[in-house]
Amino acid sequence: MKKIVTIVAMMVITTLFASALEIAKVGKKAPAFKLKDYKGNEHKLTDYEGSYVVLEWINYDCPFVKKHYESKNMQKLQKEFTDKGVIWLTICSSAKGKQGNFTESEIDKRRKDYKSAETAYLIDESGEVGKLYNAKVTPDMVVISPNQEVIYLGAIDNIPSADQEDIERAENYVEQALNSAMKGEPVKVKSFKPYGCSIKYAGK
Amino acid sequence: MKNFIFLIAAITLFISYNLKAEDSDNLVKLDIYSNVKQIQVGSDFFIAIKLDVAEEWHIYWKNPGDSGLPTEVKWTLPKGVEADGGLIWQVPERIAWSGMVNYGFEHDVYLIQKFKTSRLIDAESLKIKAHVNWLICKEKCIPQDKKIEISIAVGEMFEKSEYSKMIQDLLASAPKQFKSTKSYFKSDDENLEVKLTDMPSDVAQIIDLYLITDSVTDNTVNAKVENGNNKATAKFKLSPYLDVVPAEIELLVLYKDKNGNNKSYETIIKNSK
Repeated sequence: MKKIVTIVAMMVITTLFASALEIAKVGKKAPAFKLKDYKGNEHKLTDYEGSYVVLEWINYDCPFVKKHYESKNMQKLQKEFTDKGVIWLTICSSAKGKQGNFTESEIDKRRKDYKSAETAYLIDESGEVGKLYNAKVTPDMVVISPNQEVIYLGAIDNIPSADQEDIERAENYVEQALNSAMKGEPVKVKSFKPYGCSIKYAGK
Repeated sequence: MKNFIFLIAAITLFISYNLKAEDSDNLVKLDIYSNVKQIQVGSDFFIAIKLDVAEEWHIYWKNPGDSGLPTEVKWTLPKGVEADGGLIWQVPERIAWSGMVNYGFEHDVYLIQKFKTSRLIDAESLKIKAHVNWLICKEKCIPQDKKIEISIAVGEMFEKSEYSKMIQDLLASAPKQFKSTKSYFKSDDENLEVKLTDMPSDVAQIIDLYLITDSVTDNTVNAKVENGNNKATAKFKLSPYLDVVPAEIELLVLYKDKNGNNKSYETIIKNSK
């Protein structure tokens, strides 16, 4: 009997672990996480059930991130959709001492300079959440539906470049996914390989 | 006094800015070569662009892998000169780090283009201009570009340049183009399987396959290659970002020939569906 209990317990633990480590996939439940924002407030993905959520991986010093911030493209999207009730979580997975990992005052300054309009700027120094969402580059975007299903995963748009001039003629897949989903229409492009700088995770 | 401090500050800033600019300017040394010094109208020639990459940095192949951008060459050509075929790339290095895989070049690399000329050219020389764009990364990434040009004389006689042998050797070691007629691939929800059933006659053993078509397979998972009698199978994991499986894919196949030399070929194969 004891043996059976142990086996069942082990199976339960294995299942729990397996589900905890399930990597984000389009059409599947968005992996749950909790992170602190750069001011120290905790945010849980499940807190935002009932709203659309956008995840945006960031590294202010990456030229591809600069492309979308210096052109105000990213802030415009943030503003447009947070005004419509979307929760926009910017996540930094740069490890301590690596490019993109900034102090609180530096983040304050950059946010102010760029007039960014995200809901929160979250710190993921361990890289755990980045890896859970298979984020490899900045920027990398995820759109999550109100019932917490991943509906878009990947690049912000379809022109991989660091050139601001390309933004106007690019198709913005985050905007398309949100607009289609909000109208109850199917999302046309559900995934597109993200382009950018590699995320500076801990270790080599 | 206040002015003086301001001046010192300005000079320091100026110097440090210039040092910084100069540092990143020297990360790639660009050169351009031709295999000919003088051509006769109507003949072909090759131009090689050398990118000499600073130590510890890398630039990217035509499929950059998980991050980065492909290196690009845009040509400005005189009347009567036309590129013949695509850019000829060397075999890239597989750069694995921090859970990611990139395809690129950590040392120097030559990008070669074949050109053909029209018999109607009426000029004494041809100026070939190249605008080269690349992204160079170490921990940080810097997008850069530079313009470079070369002139080739037009005359009665064909005259080799001193780089003719170098370009000939580079072409000999570059991947060959092979037209597959029977090879194909198939895929399910997770994996993609390549079946090479026709290949160049000197292949003894397939070593590895890189996809030239971007975003199809997961770069972090190595292809599992099995060699058979004049055929080979390679299994890949599909990329998590793949939306629709393409009708055809382009491959770089690395192999050993019957004398044990490392060789490679590029080919396009079709989806069996």
